[in-house]
Amino acid sequence: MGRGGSRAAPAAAAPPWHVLPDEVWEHAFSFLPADSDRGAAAAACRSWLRAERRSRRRLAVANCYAASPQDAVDRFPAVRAVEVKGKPHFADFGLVPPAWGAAAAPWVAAAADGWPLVEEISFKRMVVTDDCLEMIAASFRNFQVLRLVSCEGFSTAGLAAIAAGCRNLRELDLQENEIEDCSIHWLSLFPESFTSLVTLNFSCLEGDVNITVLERLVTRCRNLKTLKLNNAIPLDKLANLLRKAPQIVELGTGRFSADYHPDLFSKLEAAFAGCKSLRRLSGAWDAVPEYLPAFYCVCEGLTSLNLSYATVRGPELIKFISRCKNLQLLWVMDLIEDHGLAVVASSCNKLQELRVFPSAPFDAAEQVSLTERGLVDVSASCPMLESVLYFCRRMTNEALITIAKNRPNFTCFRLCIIEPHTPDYTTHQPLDAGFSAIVESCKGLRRLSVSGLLTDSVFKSIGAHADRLEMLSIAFAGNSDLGLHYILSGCKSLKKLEIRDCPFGDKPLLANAAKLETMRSLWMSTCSLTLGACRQLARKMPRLSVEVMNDPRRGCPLDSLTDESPVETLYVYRTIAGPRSDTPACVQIV
Amino acid sequence: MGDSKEREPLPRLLDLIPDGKQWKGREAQGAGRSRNAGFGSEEDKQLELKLGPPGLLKEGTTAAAASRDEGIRREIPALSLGCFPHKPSKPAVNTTATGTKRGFLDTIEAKTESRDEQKQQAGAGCGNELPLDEKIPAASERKTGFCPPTSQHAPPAATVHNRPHAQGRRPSAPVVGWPPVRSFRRNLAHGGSSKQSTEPHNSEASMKEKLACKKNPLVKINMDGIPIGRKVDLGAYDSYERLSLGVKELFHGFLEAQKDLSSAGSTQLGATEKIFSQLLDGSGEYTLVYEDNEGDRMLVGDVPWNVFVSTAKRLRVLRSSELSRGLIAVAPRRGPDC
Repeated sequence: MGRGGSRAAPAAAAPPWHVLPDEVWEHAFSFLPADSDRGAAAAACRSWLRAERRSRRRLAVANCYAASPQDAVDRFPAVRAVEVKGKPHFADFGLVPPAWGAAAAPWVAAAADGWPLVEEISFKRMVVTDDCLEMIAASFRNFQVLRLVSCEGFSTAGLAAIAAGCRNLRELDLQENEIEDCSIHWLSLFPESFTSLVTLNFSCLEGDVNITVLERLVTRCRNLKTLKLNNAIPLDKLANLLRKAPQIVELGTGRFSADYHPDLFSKLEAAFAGCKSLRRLSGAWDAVPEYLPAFYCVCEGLTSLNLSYATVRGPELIKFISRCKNLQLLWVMDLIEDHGLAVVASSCNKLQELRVFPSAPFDAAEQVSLTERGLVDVSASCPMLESVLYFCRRMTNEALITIAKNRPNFTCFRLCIIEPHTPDYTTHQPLDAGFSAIVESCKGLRRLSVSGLLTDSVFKSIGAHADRLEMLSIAFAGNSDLGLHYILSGCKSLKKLEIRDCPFGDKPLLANAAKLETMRSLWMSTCSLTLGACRQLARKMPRLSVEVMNDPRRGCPLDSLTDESPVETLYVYRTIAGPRSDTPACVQIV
Repeated sequence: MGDSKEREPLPRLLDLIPDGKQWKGREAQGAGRSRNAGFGSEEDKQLELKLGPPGLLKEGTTAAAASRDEGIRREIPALSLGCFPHKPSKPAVNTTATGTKRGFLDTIEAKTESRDEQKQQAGAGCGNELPLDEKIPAASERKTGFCPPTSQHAPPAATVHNRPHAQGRRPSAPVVGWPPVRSFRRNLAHGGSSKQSTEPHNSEASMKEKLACKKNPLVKINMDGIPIGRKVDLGAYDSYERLSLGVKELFHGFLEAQKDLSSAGSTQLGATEKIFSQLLDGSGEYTLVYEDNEGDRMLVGDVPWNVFVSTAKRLRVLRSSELSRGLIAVAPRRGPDC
């Protein structure tokens, strides 16, 4: 204490700021909304690390193999809401072998043990079994939110366990899962005393539901805000449900078709008229055009319209959308065609996100007149447009350049020209210039998918200009190792890179090995990689997990394969958990 | 916007590998790697631009899939790319429209085949071959070099546009996982859907029919006393009698096995016949019941056959004695129906 000498010890004063008690820091950190900010705070010093991790309530694990469940529980003991993602994105398109992994069970088990107060669990692209769901129902007394997106492995029996066991359930949100129908009447297992449901989404369920039970559930859950039905609910029953839940904010109609009867139409119209709070609408599968006007009274209030599975087309569709003047999000099939998008451009000026899906992705006969024109029109007239997913069959550099000039505010630009290697159809040049314009103009671009005929030079532009790019998807593009090298040596913020069918080989991978540790993951399938390079990468970078997926017949042992053997699929991700032990035979960690 | 006015020196990738190892390119069979990629090596002279006869191009692109085998390349004129030598990634994929789970293995199998067998007749009407990617020259005649990027813009004639815009004119054989749409969407296109009925615009079809229309009426069927259930395709039968026979066939083997195991009873040959003979009229030892779309247990045989097919969700072969006592076994996990 006393140092003697000329400096007098200061008089007793308030403690220096850095020894404030943890509770103060925890309170301060609670104002940091983004996990990355919290992470940065935790890295500042030990006491902040301690305060931050002990007060963290929400945890998002973007790659279930990046850390073990026990690591997560140990580090963040107070988590109440956890989200875990499993398989790589290309699993959605069948590129990942069936038994690849991403089991949810270890996470549920660890949570049941270490986070008994968990209230929310979200799984995306994971294998969730009925046992997992039963364990969830049994382990968390205040469980409130279950969100399963693109998962598989469970059945209606698991849903029954959730319904019966989760007394405080607020949200059951099932999006695009593969759910086996065991004919269990899971809906009936919500007790009569159960009234807390706010979100119920079973649109991906294939089986029938007991409509009477559903009606009673909807009636007694007065706080129900989101209801998304599957295709088992006929139109007149939909009308009944709406009358029982006029407070609804988000509705998935399921199917929306019936023979036209004026009575049914009036009933529907009246039901919708009562839904004054309806803001988000989806479904309308099989929508019959004659019934679309039933929606008219809610159009003005709609901010989100998802018709991406609706095969309705023609003037009724366009008229309907054009009345939705406050749309911020529009997902639609290419049946809307260019002229429909022109109407959207002029009517829906508040549009922020547009997705146009292909109605006939595998049939190249051009029945649908959806081209680059539609996208140009929308980008010209919708000043707030920032996110686009667009499937079409032709594109020009000029269109892309125009779009880039009109909309420098894009954060997400995903263009899928359905035929691989399609050039600019007017000049027959590669689309390098167009995509380069996009990345040069859109400085905030976070996600990009490129398609069409592309050479290495587009990757040079992307590497140089796309500073904020976090996710990049490349298919059938490039012509040499340089392409990959440009990306890996540029793109400062890159987190996820997924590549298929490109002529990228070993060299850029090895030359940029260090970059891979700054990224979440890299996927390369049907490129020009060899096993030797993968082995070398794994040796050089011990904190990466290097997974090689090959022909199952050559699967194991990989030791017998030579360094020259080609690698069909490479999936590399950073991890603190070491190599996983649940790989199937055709996946090897080198 | 042409961007490469300047000819910059190409970076030497080899120098960037930290440990300075010279990476030896190898012309491995099927490896399809580029050697000295982009370092200005000479183009592969073999890649000439040729147009094939219309028939061959029905799959749109270069039938370079064929060019797995150099020999074939001569015989089947293929549309190859001059200056856009895409790497011979191994994209020989089988067509698949069956959804996510199949896709990966199909890819692998197809690729192995093509590598091993070395004969691909892409244009020759073999519907399995992958169209577009096959512009990529085969491994065996791999491109050792590529045009340096800077000279790409030079010869427009050699570029792709000579590929007829057949994209509008022929069905593209599907590449696995391309276009990148979820499996739900594949079904939409082909009419049989997991989310929708088969006729999107058919407003004449009765709603009931649509509701009941499932892609495959495979229903589970259990028999009292037999722990393992079966699945039966109701669409494969056209009458109750046939169904009854089918049920007998399904469980016949189990019953025999059970009889063998129980050493006490004498094996009566006609025993199983007897069991199944009166399934439908309630007078036999067993009775067939079903569970309909509202969850109720019903006796099989009351409604017209097609109504039965569309409403039956599960079948059960019950002991008639159970029926008469009104003690229909309830599946353990089932909750109250209403």
